[in-house]
Amino acid sequence: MTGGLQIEGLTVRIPGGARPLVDNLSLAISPGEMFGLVGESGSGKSMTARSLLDLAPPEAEIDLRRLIVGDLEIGGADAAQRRALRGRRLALIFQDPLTALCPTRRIGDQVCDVLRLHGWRDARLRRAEAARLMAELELADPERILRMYPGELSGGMRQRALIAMAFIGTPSVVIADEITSAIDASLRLKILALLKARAEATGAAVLFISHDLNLVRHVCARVAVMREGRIIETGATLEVLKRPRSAYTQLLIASAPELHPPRQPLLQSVGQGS
Amino acid sequence: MKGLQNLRDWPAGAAIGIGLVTTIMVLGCIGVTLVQPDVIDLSIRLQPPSPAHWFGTDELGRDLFARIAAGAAYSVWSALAVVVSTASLGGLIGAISAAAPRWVDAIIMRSMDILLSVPALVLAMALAAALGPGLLNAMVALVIARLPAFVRLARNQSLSLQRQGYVEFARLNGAGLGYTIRRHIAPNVAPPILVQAASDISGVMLAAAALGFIGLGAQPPMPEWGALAASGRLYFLDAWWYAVFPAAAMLAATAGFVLLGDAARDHFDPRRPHNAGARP
Amino acid sequence: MLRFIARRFAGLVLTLLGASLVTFFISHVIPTDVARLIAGDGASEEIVAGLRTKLGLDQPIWVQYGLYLQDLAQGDLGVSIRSGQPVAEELLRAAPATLELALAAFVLIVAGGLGLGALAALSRGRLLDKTVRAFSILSISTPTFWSALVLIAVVSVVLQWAPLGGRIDPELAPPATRTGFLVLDSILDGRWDALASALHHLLLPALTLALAALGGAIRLVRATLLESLSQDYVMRARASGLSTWRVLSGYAMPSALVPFVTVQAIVLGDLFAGAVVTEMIFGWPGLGSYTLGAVAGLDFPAIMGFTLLASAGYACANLVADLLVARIDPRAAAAS
Repeated sequence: MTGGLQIEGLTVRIPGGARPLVDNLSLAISPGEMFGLVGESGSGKSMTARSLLDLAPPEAEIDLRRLIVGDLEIGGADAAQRRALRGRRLALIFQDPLTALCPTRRIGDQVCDVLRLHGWRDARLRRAEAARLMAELELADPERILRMYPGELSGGMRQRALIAMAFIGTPSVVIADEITSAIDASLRLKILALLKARAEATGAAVLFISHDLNLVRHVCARVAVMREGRIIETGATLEVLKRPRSAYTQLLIASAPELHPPRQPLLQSVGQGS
Repeated sequence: MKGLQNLRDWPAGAAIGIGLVTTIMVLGCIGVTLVQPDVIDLSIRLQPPSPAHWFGTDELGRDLFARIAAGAAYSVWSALAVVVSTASLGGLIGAISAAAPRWVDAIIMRSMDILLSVPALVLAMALAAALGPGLLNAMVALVIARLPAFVRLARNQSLSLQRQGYVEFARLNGAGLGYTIRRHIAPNVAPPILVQAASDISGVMLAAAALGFIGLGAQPPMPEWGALAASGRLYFLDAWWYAVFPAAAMLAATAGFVLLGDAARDHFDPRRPHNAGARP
Repeated sequence: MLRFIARRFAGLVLTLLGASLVTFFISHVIPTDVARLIAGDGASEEIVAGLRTKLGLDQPIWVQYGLYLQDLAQGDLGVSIRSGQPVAEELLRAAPATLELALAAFVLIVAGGLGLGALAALSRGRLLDKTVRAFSILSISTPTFWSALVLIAVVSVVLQWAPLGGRIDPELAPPATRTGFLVLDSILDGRWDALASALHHLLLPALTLALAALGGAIRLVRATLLESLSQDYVMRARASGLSTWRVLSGYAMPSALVPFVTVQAIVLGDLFAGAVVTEMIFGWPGLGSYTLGAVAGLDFPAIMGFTLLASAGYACANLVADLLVARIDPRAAAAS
């Protein structure tokens, strides 16, 4: 398989830790696919995302047999090669859109910083592109939003801006790390729809990290369940929900409210509507 | 002091700090009891360090080691006295200001603002000059100059405590002002004040020595380190040891207190994992 | 923003009023007989009494403060007991030397604090970090007179790389006095030999004065930078592929600068006091040396003049810091 994301044998350990934070993890996502990674907090989901970009804490020891991002294959555990993925091939969207934006700088400046990295040399063109990106994420009055500070925007607006920034430079892979947990429940599906629309438009593979199976089933056709650093179950989302093989997955399903018999995935209609 | 039990968790800096401070304290105790810092012997003026006189002698043939040991009592203990007075006085005024009627609070806080309008060290200098040279006057000047920081800290801390449910509950149930302060405010205001005081010791020592050095603090023949270094400076090019050893003692003591202050701050810092939620 | 600036300026005036209260209290309330102090011990009783009436010292205390303020508003800081000259004139003559010294030290503190602090934070836990931290602890623990003596002993006496004291080579004709700042005057005059000599003389005193505050600046920058480096927005900027320099200057530094700027105003205020010791050791003819002479001669008008001047400088530094913070952090301006 070429394109998309392929991780083979990722292990992350902290010296002195009882068990690896991520234990020999392998998964593959095709271009344009949204793949769910679920598990309770501390199961190693975020550490997986961060170590792929060499953003794990400096004391962490990372071992990786093979990593394919888009058409690029990285062998072994070369941290410099993984750092080079940042922004260009692999983008990361953070959990809390308030803390993920610098409070002392205007939204526009932060978007333009990333644009400049992707070859937008001319300041005026850069500004226009930033406004176009905001509009693409259905933000009204993009010019005004670019002039605002993060503290003046709502959570949903901030997360849209961050999604727009993640897709600058059309990365082959986007990792969305709990991107809706700090957002009003009423807005979550809208944000997910926008993410899915962007992924389909650019053909990026999306690794969708969440603790909420309820959300995952709306956007991901396939899912992997993670526990204590290991993937314990993987398969079609509906299949996993209907016939969980492990007791842990059953527990996850049982703890999610309003998640009874899985119905038609909701977002296929929403996503295509936008 | 619950913290002292897990001494082994403390970082190396704290251990060095404790070592330095203990050494200086012991030196101070020796200074006030065993050695004779005032024995004049003009036949051995300005002798370099030797087995008989470890740190050499001064312009009157007095043994410098003895004078520095005796000076430890003045320099260290006076700084401690200043910090303890400032912290307790500031803590008290701050707590009163927070609990008292609004106009009393206003008077106290505006007075503190007035004191804060002059840079602390300049204020200490001007006050020491007005009160007249001398160690005691310099100490009083330092207490006044550093008071506002403690008053503000104690007041803000008490104010945020007063909004806590249990304090309001006590007041609503008829607990008096004194009782509330004693029972609920004081125990919770104390830790941040202690931390501030611990990290203030080194600054006070330096300020007192500077006052002594420019002639506003301790006066000769009192062997306070700043005053010693000031006399030694006059012979600096011929007798380096005279200025170097008092200043080195000063450096060791301040570094010790800086490290101790850091340790205290780390220990009480609510962001440290084992302290999470320790403070309201 | 305009209202913010206006309010800060009002605060500046209030602070200066506060400082005048302090100096009035110290010079008029603490001493038992101000007229006797000014006239000197040898003066006859009639002269002292005359002086008392002339200076309004027989009036009620608030009238005296009113008179004092009136004089201050006209720039009259009284007459020096030692020289009989107006204190304001003497202070103005000595001020440029001290300002030159303090500004040079301040530049060293800010540059060293930001540079070494950032270096330590970026190399956290490694040898470089430990070295910088040890240096900063040494710096805050060292009495100013000690660093001055060590620098003179090593750099001036042993290595002979720097002069022992003074502002300029005494064999050199000083540049024409325009501003009183020797460095500036030399440049304005085109006297490059004088400029070199002035900078050479400035080096050690500025370093001495800076050392006392440098450790604190480094520690502050390191601590705040470590905190902001662990923020999500810094990690996001790194994940976007921005260069280390861009992440540092555009994302991690600005929020770390807010406490730094506020504290540097206090540091600048304390430099006035630090200048007394430094100028004494290096024979630097500025406010510090002037005040030292005043202290020795119990020249209260001169000491109070210095105190007021230091407070004014301090208040201005605080004002600038407030404006800078408001510029760096939009939330600070909105909050007040």
